[in-house]
Amino acid sequence: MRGTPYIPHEPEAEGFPHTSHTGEVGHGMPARRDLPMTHRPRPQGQAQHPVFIDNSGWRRKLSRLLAVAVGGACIGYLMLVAVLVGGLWQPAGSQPPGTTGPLPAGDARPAAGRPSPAPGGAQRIDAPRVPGSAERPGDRHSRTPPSARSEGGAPHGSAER
Amino acid sequence: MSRHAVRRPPRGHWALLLLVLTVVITALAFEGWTTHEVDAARSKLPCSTPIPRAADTGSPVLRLGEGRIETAGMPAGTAALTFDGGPDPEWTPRVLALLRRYHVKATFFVHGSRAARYPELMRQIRDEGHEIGSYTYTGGDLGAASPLRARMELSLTQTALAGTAGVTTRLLRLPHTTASDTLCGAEWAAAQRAASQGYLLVAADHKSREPWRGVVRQYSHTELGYREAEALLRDRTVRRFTTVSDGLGRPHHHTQAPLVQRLAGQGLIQAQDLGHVFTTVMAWALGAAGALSVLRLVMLAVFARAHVRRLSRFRPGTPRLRPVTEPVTVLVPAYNEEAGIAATVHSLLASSHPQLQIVVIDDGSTDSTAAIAESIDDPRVEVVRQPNGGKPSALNTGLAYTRHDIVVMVDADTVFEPEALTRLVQPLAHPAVGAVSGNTKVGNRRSLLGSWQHLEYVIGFNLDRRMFEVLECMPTVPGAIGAFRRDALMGIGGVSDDTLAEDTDLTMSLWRAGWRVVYEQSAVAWTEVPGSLGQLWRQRYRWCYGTLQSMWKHRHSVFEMGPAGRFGRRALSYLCLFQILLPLFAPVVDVFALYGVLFRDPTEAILVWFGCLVVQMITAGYALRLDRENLRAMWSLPLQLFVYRQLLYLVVIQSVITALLGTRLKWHSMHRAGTADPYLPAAPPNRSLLTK
Repeated sequence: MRGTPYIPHEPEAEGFPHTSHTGEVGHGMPARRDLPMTHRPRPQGQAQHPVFIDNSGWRRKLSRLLAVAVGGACIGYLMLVAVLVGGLWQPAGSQPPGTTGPLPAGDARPAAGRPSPAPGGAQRIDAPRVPGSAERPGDRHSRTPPSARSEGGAPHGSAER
Repeated sequence: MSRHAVRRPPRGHWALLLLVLTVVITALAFEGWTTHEVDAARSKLPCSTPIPRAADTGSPVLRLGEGRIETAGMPAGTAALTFDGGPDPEWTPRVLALLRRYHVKATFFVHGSRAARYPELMRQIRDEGHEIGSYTYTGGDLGAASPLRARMELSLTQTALAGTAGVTTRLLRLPHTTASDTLCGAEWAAAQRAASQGYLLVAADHKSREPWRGVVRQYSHTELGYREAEALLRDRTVRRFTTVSDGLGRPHHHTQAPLVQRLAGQGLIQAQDLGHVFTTVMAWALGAAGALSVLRLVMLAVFARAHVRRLSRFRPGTPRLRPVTEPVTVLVPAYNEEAGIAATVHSLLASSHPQLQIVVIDDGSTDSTAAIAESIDDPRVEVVRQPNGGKPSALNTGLAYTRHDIVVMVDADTVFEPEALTRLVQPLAHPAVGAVSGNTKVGNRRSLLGSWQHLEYVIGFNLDRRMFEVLECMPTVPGAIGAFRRDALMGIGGVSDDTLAEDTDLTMSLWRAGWRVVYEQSAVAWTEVPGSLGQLWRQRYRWCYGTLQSMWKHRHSVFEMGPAGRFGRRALSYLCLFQILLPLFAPVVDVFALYGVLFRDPTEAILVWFGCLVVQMITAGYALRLDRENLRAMWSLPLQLFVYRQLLYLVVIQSVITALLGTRLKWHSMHRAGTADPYLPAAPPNRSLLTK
């Protein structure tokens, strides 16, 4: 290292394994194990090159791999969020399913209407009592309410799905 | 060649961090939305208008379509049991068991968020033949929610049902409603919007309606709901218990969901889990950051107090020593410092110490630094020129010209007080002391940035130094003002250029060599801090990266004995916790603060911020008092919490990433590869130095 006060770092490396006067600093230093602790050169493990610098670049490559993996996962998550948000514009249907009218398959069977007990003109749907069967036409007993009280038109006719 | 290729500081990680931040914010926002913290629509607003007449027939099933309203109900003798708000891990299995016992099918209106949390319960409900309807995602009042939120609630519920039970449903019950006349006011508008998205609305019959007339009954997943359902099941007047659709004579209104929707549902469940995980992790990180901050402030306060008491008291074990009047060599390495070198040297010449040797080492400056230094007409000043080799090599060159046994290292832009030199070298009277740190104060503290740094120096550096002094683990003698024993420096081989923070590295090496490093707070030097954010960033990046390097280089000191081991364990732990981990947690605090302000209660977030500010102000006030500074410097403290803190933790992130990647930066290229370098122009200095 230019500018360093010249102190031998590794006396063995310079080929001076023989023992001479102990405690003499400079050339002709005794073997390291013969020197007291305070005269030994700097302890091992201290870097002789800049710390952290990785010349081969393997850390950079590994980091790049990890970064790509994490970035991919993040982008996957954001795409999922985009799909979910896109689902906002796909409602279950354009209008509610019909509560009356012909069913996809099955025979029509007229059912006896029943007058609604509620004075308010409630409408009821009669379903013949056949448990478990889904193929049933619903027939409606309708009492058209007074036109003055209807809102949005009198409901009659089949409601389409 | 790529082996020694110099690269720019790494930048790609910022893009990645931004991406991760986006994901985290999205997950947190979704989590907050799910738990009603975001866009809260918790309680039903009181009704201002009743429901339309055509809907007010008392029948619970409402179909709003094609510009007209149809209502429907259960035929006489038929009761439809509906259960709201599930699935619940405790009550849903019990309800299912009850229904199994009576061989009855019911309708379950489920929350989408809970369905996503308990998919196996959903599958059980579907497999046992019950009907599934939607009860919105979070159960917030749909009338009070914005149209966008209402849309999201319904759509996400469908997706959740698709992902868990594999079905889509057309039945909807609006939360917080009972009989159909509770769909008044804002609820009616919400009902209309929901119907336009294809939902059949199912309310419930009035509780007063007798079951033999045909009812839709509404129960919750609680003890009360269970009891009431059981009571109804035992009611003899009801001939048949069905689902809502069966009661209407229609097929089940839930159908198999398409594959895409099922996949999206699975994704939704994972996303919801991810949101939970993030919130938990963030909460822990926040707790850790808070605990660390509090711990640091407490430690600083306690040890600063101890230090102050020490100064005024006589401690056994610290003998009263003679004043140090030996001659002192001052080394001033300079690189392009023509602006400040004259002031520095003159302030040194004006110091009260009897004998001085000032060595100005010009490190290959391209401006007139050396000329200015040479023009100073004082026999105590020597100027040495060398080709550019970095500060460590400049200091080592200076060491070769040192004639005295005490070396003071000074930065070329630092101005000394007259008494500073004398006070600085006094602790060296004790033979165990190898280095003394002085007290740096910020000179240009008028600007905002200068004021922030002034506060930082006073609180951070000086309070920290008092604590290090009491704990005997001072990690850094600042290059701006530090006194060393020449023997100590020679013993460790001079100043090393292994790291970018050569002052920290030097101090740690001294500790490991067995010397003690102390703090002399009365030796004051005034330094000029960076005036622009760019310069500040570079300075802090270099310091932080250099500190990381030094910590890694000296990591083995943790296992050593004596003062070196004590230093290693204490200093390295402190630096790890408070200079690395705490700044890395700080972004979490910011994210949470932003989340709190935007989505949660803003007043709560502001109160917390105020609390932190008050604690900081108390600490700052104490530190300023200890250093006998003007308390008015605290004016910039509130702003410091906003921009300055962010800069500091971004610097730490950048340093850690640079360290992990192992990039060779431009700063590193100033240092030579080794003494065998064939391009080395100058020979090493005279070996006979050692025999002086």
